[in-house]
Amino acid sequence: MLRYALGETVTMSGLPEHLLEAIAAGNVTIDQVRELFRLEAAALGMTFDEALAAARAGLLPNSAVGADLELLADLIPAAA
Amino acid sequence: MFADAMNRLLAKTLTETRLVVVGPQEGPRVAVAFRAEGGQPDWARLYTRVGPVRLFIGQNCEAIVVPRGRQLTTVKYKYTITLEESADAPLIRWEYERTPRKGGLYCRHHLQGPTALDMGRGGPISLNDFHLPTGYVPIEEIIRFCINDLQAAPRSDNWDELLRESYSRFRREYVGDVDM
Repeated sequence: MLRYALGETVTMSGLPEHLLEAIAAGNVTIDQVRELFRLEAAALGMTFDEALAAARAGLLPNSAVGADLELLADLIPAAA
Repeated sequence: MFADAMNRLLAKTLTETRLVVVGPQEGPRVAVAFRAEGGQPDWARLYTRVGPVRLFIGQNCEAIVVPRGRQLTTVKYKYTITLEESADAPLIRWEYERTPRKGGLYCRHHLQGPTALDMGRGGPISLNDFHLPTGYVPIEEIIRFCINDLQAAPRSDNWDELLRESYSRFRREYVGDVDM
């Protein structure tokens, strides 16, 4: 069950192997940042665009996933 | 690397939960936050005087070129402490935004939480309705707060010394005096 309006409890599965490897190697591309953002947004029941808009408006939950999305949003070019 | 040094410090003082760096090759900015082994965003779970809590640490950092080389600056940070048993908002949030949203004029370094403040005639006002100013809050001070004030068990006897050394090194090697 997703409860993300306040302090949520979200169960997010592990990242795909290629993303884990790229992060571990420090070789993440902007497309992979977008992929990571999309996966974390999905864990909150949101689309990429919904989560990006919420991040930029300061409306994401203050959970680990929400806080991380807020940080990742800053890595995504505004035109994306 | 900053995250490696911080992970060593966290492991020696407070938690084995690890900070992981995510940043596109194409840009100078990276996000540093707790992640689980599977790569998911994570909290550090701490047992404290107020019960089990979840600590989140996240920062966005940027490398800039200065006369003596490259320097790391903090673009944003968010540190939160949330009661494990609570579905409510974090008890405490320390935040910094170099560029506040929508041109906001609030204090860039601030503290927030759901605590009601007695504001006299105005009655109680939630701390979440203010951006209570703070100075720059380094991760070392969050660790110190968790150990000294929340009484989370330190992972070594010399945690105070380790925190002091770490912050001195951080200022010397990574940040200098830029944009604190």
